[in-house]
Amino acid sequence: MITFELLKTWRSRRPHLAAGSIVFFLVLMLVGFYTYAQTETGGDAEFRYTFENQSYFNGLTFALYSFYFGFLLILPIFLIMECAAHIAGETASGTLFLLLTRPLSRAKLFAVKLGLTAMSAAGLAAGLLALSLLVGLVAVGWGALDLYPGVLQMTDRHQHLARDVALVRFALAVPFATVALMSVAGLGFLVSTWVRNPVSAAGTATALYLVMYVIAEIHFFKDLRPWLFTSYMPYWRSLFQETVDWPGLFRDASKLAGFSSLFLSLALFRLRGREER
Amino acid sequence: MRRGIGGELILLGLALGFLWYGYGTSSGESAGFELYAPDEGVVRVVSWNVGVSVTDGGVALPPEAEAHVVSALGALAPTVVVLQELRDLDQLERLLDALGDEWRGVLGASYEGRRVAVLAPARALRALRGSAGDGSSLGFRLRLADELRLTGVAIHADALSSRLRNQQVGQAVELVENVDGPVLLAGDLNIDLDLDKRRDLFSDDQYLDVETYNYLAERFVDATLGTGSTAEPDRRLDYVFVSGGWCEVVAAGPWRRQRAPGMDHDPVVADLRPTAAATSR
Repeated sequence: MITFELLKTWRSRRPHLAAGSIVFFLVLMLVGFYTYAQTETGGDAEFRYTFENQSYFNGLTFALYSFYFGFLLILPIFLIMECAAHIAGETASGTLFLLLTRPLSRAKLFAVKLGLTAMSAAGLAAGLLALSLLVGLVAVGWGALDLYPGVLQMTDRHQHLARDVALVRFALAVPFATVALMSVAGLGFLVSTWVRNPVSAAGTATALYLVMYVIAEIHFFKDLRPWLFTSYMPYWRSLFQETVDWPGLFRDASKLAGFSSLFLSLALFRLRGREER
Repeated sequence: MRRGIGGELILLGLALGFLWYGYGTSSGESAGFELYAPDEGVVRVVSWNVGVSVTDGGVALPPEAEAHVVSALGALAPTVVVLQELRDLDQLERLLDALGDEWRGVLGASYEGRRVAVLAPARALRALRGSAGDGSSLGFRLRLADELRLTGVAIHADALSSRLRNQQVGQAVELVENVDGPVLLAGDLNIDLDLDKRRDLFSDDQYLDVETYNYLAERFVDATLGTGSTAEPDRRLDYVFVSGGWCEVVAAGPWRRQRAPGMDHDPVVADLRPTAAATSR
């Protein structure tokens, strides 16, 4: 069953599409930073930013920025597409109906698809990060990671992480980012069990994610934001502080895991209750 | 046909467990300042923008809210108070009268119809050290003990222009530059740098405000760092900075739920214990 699902995923070419899009994204990020640096330095095209430190922009900063934006806006879309393909896509094509003619419980089928989606989430996070670091290393070169207030609001004071420490933090970011992505996957599964057309399922789930993401970004909605899972999506940022607030990090991870479990519970309930045709 | 919901219940149980841990346990976020009676020798600094802007479009302290301010200050029993958005000298005198005979105050020049003031017991408040030409800041000196003299500056930086804020903070720092001894800078800087507000709708000012904050952070210790927002909507605008080495911060932060109707700022309190070195100068 797992091998069969893996084969289907590979043949669908969705992983190829995701990888190609990530490469395209990183190329654009690189061009964007080069042109920005060229403008800011009057033709002396160096990756650096001027007002706090003459040389803090390096490959690690590039990787962090790229991962940050890619994680929030690109990876969720691919993950939602994956979820839509697993349930709604196979419903529309009749594959799900065919699978269920075998002595296979819907819960087991759901669990296998969920496991594969979790692998996809981890793969997307690890892949984007590894590629960002590689591009950063080749194009700019690594160094220490310096973060300042005001830049992506990652910190409220200057943070300095030595290169090796920063690389460990990047590695730790992968599992924490995967937990966050699984809440998006939960939403994707939930919508996918209600909407039988994969395009509609992916579109609806993406729209819901973006609506919640935009609302969560309006900072003075302070009473509403805590109840949207999108408010916690970039929670792994705190790994890039000199002193990591581990209890806070695990609390946010727990909230995301809670939302994820809730969505998945409802999705499974719907999948098991509905009539296949 | 549905044949059991074991999987759903397991997932639901996990959801409840995770959500309970995430939302139910202490967030670790600062609850702000909690009122207590400090030890003798602790210097309690209070900075409060007492203007009204939530319900009345932005005006200085209305007379009907004066009693509330006096009551809150009376409960705090501060060593020194810097207020922003007072109306005039008459209002300052009414506040001083209500606080008690031992209180004295100085009032800054009018900045867009609002004034900065410094209030302290008469035995402590020594001299006016100067003020910025536009009335945004006011320097002062305090004698806190025989051996401890504190030079301070109260500030209310412009609310709308980061360029003006940058200049005004520079002027305020000039008032206490080259002071040989403990220094305090407190007030409403109208600068909001917060970790979780990446898409701040007022972000055009961000870079200049970062420079301004860093200018202060290079010279002083931010005594209320990490204690949460001080003003609507969820912004940290009020600060207490102290020069390094003369004191340790015992407790600090915004004292919440103390706003009169229409006020948009909490009083910000910093309890500072002078070090032995500072008191023996």
